[in-house]
Amino acid sequence: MNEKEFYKELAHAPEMPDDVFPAVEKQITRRKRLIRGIYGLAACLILAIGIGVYQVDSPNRNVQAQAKPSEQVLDEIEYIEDYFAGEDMEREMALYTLVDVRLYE
Amino acid sequence: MNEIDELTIKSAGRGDAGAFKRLYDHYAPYAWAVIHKTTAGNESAAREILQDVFVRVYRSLKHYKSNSSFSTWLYRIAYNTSMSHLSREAKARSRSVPLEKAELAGDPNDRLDARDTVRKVLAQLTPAERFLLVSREIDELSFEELAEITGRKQGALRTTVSRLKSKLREMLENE
Repeated sequence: MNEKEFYKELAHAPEMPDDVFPAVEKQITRRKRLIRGIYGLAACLILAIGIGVYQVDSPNRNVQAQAKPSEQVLDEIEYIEDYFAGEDMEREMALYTLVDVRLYE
Repeated sequence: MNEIDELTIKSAGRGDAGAFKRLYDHYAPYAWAVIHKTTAGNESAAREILQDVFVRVYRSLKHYKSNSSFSTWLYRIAYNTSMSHLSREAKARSRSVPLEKAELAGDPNDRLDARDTVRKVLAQLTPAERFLLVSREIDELSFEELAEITGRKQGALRTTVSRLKSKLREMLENE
């Protein structure tokens, strides 16, 4: 065989098989499904963790809701509430009326 | 080689199945021819590589930039896929029976037809040499394109192809 015949024969390729494209499509689809599955699984995991954290934390939230402030804090709150309601002046006046000015003369 | 329109490439990159099919129909015969020769006529290996090439093309389409022609980009994928596939296969074969030689071995008195001679000659070359020979001599790719595909320098490629052709001449004389 000479060089020319070799290159002529080299240029000849057998017919391309028909089943390659369906196999490519199948592989692509499988990969897409796998990626979707992974994303779905990740979303479920995040949701499960979120629910878990919420449930684990719920006793604390109940304790906070049931907690009662101390007497001193309650007094302070009442004082602030009175201030906003404009009722603190009355209390102040009552306080001043207890002071006997003659003591300071 | 006729290039397909940019719109088809972009649509295929966005996941349009019809555009990807058009892309496959346009380029797969070229890729098949070069891959088939690179595998020295091993049809099952060529089929596997072609499938792998187009799966990789699909995955990488969104990263394709039109700095080089689409065919050069596709040839680069075909080259890399073929080399990794064939080197993997060669390693596996070195651990078992050398199939390529076993397939080609036969009665030396048998008359080999032209196709068998080509197969026999190609089997004596490395996969990279076979790829270079086909893409340069049959697909008539330029050295610039070959440099982009293989990642080698143009000068080195010229020398390799020239040596390859002399080697081929010698091999054909001995046939």
